[in-house]
Amino acid sequence: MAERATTDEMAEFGVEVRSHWRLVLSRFAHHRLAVAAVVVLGVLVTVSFLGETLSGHRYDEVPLDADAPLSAPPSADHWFGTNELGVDVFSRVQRGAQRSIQVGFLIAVFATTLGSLVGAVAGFYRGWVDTVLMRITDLFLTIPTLAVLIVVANRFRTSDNSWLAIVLVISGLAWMGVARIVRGVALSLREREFVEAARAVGLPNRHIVMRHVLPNCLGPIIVAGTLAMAGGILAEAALSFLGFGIQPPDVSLGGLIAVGVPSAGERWWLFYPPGMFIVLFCLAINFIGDGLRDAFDPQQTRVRA
Amino acid sequence: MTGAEGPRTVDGPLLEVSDLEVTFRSPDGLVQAVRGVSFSVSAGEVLGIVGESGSGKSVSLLAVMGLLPAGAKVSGSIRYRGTELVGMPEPQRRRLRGNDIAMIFQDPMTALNPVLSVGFQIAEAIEVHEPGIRREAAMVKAAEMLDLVGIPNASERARQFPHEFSGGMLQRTMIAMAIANNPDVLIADEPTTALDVTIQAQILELLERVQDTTGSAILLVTHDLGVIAGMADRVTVMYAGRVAETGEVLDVFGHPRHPYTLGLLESLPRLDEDARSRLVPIGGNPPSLLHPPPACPFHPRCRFAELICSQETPLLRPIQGGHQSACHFAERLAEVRAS
Repeated sequence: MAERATTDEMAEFGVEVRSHWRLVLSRFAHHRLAVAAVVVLGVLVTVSFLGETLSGHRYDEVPLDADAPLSAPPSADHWFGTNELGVDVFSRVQRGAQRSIQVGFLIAVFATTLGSLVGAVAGFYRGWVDTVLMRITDLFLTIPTLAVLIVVANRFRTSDNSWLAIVLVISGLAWMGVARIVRGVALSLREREFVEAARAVGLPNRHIVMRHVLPNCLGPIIVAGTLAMAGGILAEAALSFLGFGIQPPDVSLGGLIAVGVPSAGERWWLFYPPGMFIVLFCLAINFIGDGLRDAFDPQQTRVRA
Repeated sequence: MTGAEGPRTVDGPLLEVSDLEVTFRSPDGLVQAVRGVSFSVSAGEVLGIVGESGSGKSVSLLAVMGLLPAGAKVSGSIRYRGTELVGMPEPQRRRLRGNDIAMIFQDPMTALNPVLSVGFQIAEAIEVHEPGIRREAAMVKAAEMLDLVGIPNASERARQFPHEFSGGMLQRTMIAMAIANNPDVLIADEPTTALDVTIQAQILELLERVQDTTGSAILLVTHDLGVIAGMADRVTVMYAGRVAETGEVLDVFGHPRHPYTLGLLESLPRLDEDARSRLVPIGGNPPSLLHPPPACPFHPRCRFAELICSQETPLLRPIQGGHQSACHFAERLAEVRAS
């Protein structure tokens, strides 16, 4: 009986949620750029994660036969050519893109979670809690991200899971924007009557923050999350470009670009493909974020149109 | 519905507020929202509180609920079953809220969280006072509560969201939420103001039914004297943070002993008088609580005012039985009314 009730509840809940989200979705569908961005992102992600199935080569496979083409331009076999060791560049870009997506996604999750919590708590409690949390936020904002990243990443350079460490460090330096946005929303939510009603029912504050304030911030949080993902991908690329990010033999887009830069003139296929991937990723994600923002906040769309 | 917590015999009033004072700090100085208000309700009784906006009704209620903003200074005494609530630590206070003293809000459209299902919000209210209850059980009980307040198809409705409910149904939901934990005192802050006139009657009927079945005490705040006349046993008229007059509804409305109450009654259309007779408004504006008028706060607007009214604060004094008035000329009003 109880189980049946839950499934019913789930089904019913799903219907409700969809009816709310359907509105958002339909508004999103009218944002052409955003829809195009979704398609582009979908293609990029698929291409990246198909890996060897699509490219027919391994990213870490150095051909041992003597007639393997070294530094060859793009061809039917090697779509993005090969590097000086004869490794297929396309498969390396795929691998790098996989890493970038993972890194970006995790950063988005960690940074938005942390930022949302800090923001909601600060905005809801106000007073000294707010002051302390927001001064900490300000403090983090003044930290020169790249410098700290380099120092910290350098420490974890040799460890196997260096990319995870990088994710955590970037997340730790990317939550402030979300925190400020969510705090703003929470500040206005706390004055709403349903929060007072929740208090009148005797709900404890932490309960009100988690169940009443945060769910109402979901729109801005999702938007901020998408943007954090793009930011995260760029930050990781920058770090890897400088050589402090993901370490060989693993591959990342930033690292690939760094390798390609010296020969960008003659062997352009080493430089442009990973660069294009990063640009496309970030553009697509940002457009999606833009579309989501408009979908969640129809008034803003009207002003823009 | 009563009896779950053992014997509930109470001597005297359930809730007793005496000399309540609430002050807010504002950039322009101290705002004395409530200046020495006393009232009490017993089990099974409905106390109406009337007064215009800014008379301190809502602030008094919030003080009883313990929901005043942190900046508010509360003094005086609020006793629930003999226990002092003023100065009670928040965790203890929170346990009383919703469980022993519950509140129905003015605007049900904004008092429910738009992103949570109606049933979930009631279940939440049950869970918080009944730790250990399973979510499913709480949801079932929530549906029962919805059924009790007259929402058809309650178990399906419980899974819907506030925007799928009409205003009247939302107010029923608020009432369901308020009575879910069997409170002894129910505070209704203008429960019908935001509703259609036709729905108002239904909601009031529901409140009456709730009271009949639960035997709780109800504090009913409203602008609507008709609602008070129909529902309340006793009424307290507030003006500028003070009690102007209090007593049995029949006494107060039938024989007002305070010019303000008289003014309120005169400003209402009556069925038993010539339809063409003009309504009499109360002249002037409500006083600023930043600088309330000295002595009797009503004297600048009072047509009976004399010198003493601006010099001496009239105390709330008994007129007859439980009927009390804070007017220097309470006795003379009887003659005015008669002439």
